[in-house]
Amino acid sequence: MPEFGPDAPTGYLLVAALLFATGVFAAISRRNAIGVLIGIELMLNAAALQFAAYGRFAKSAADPQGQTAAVFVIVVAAAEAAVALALLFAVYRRTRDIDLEQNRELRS
Amino acid sequence: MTLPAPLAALPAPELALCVGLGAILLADLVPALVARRVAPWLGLAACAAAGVCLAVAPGDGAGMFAVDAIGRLARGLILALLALQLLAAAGDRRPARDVGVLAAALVALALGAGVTAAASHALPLWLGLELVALSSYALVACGGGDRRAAEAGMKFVLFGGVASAAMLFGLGHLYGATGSLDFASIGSGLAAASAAAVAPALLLAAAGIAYKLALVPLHGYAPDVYQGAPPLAVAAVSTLPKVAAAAALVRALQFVVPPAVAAPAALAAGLALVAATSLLFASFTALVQRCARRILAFSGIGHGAAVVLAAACAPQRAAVAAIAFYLLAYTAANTGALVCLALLERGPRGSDLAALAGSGRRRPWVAALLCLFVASLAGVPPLAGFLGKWGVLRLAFADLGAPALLAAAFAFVAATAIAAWSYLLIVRAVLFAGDSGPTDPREAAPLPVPLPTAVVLLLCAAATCGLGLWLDGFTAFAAVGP
Repeated sequence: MPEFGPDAPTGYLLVAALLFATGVFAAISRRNAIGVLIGIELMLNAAALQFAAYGRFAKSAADPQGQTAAVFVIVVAAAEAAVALALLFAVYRRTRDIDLEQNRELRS
Repeated sequence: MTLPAPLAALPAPELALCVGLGAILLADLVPALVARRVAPWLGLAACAAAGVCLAVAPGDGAGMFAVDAIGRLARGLILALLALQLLAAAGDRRPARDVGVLAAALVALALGAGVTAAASHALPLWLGLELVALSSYALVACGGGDRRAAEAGMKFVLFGGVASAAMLFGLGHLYGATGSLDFASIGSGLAAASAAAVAPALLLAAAGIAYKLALVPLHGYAPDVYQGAPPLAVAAVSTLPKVAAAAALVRALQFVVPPAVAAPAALAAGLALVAATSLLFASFTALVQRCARRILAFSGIGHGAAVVLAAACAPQRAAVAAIAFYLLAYTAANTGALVCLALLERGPRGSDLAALAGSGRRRPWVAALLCLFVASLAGVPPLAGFLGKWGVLRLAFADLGAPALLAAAFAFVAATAIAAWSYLLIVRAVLFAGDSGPTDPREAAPLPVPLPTAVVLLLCAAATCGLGLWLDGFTAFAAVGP
């Protein structure tokens, strides 16, 4: 099996790690809630890609568990995005702002 | 009778909750049923059916779920808590159209918690945690709450999304390193893998559970959610996910570490360090809070950390009984305290200590019960909370050869002593502080407490006072089975 290329896991895993790192960076650096949400989606997609890659290049034979997990991740990511967007709409309707720094009424 | 394959993949108790959830959602489409507020009672029926299923045939759902002591106890506790929450929802005075949403979210929360508590496979574990998270967001933000509830929901969903995605990425790495998503195969695969390669993956996977237990440094959302969300939502969100996450933690540890032997020193020390940090941080931070619900939030962080301390102790078999009892005592007292607070609060910032001042005069019985629940949380003997703490301490002091566990046990004692002061702040505000609220004659004679709510309070109080009498019986009950 080649070390790198379409028939080796390395490339897929590298892309997944890169996606995950980008998502983490977006999630912790963005002040806008939509930006954080995009970061979370990137992290979830990185995980799905990783599952699919590990399933395809499993040690013995291709393992269906990884592909199954990836499909589940896609479905749950959609559900999570729907709930999160509904919540952000609720915040926006009340305060006209979804900036995390501006919505800070709750404190000790 | 054999079920078709897709249904057989779910254990019978969770299947019963699924049916109940469907019934609630369908009943929500019929205006006559909505007006009669049937949703909580439908949920209670499903809860009872699930309880019977759990006692008779828990089921292993095509091998993805474990039938073991911690799973049985945690799911039983989850169903009991769901019944309490549904009763409280039935007694709530919110508009009839919101009751269906509330009941549906509660049943979905319990369903996710049950799946999480029973899972012995990474996929149902993550799916259960996600269902818990999504229904928690709905409970916090959609219960007819105000701007603060929406803000709490937004912080909750963003924090939770990051924690969940990080956990999933860690699980993916574990799958790559061990070739399986099944806990048993992951456990045997981990024994062969190098520690340095899998440690980051394990840490990421543990983050999801630590988030549900609100352990430092993943606790950030808890105080805001407690303060901003509707009180009944807080009572659900602060108990059910903790029970589920504690069960998942214990099960995961059992597969990584064989149940009969002590945890490896490094693992136990890591868990003890996390527990001690959270305990001390929570107890000190609670002292400077000016809101009763935020004090309860930091109390919840401390109680979650105590469970981790118990899980770090060996042997696992004894830890299961101690953890189950601790969770039972904590959830009963916490649910009772939050329901009491809901009855005492008035106005938009009603849970502030200043706003609660003298509220005990309006509802003396509720205030007395609140003091009872808070005393149990603080660990005043002979209440259930004290016995729970005692059980955890006995485990931690059982093995005097592990310095990390010993240090964490001393941190637990110190944190309990410090936290007692913050609980006293609540008692002082409710009982002794002068009444600063408006002297409206309608306010002076509040509405009577609804019957279902009174039943909830009495059940919580009975558990808080009476569990001590049944401690031996409970330990024997917890020890039965695999």
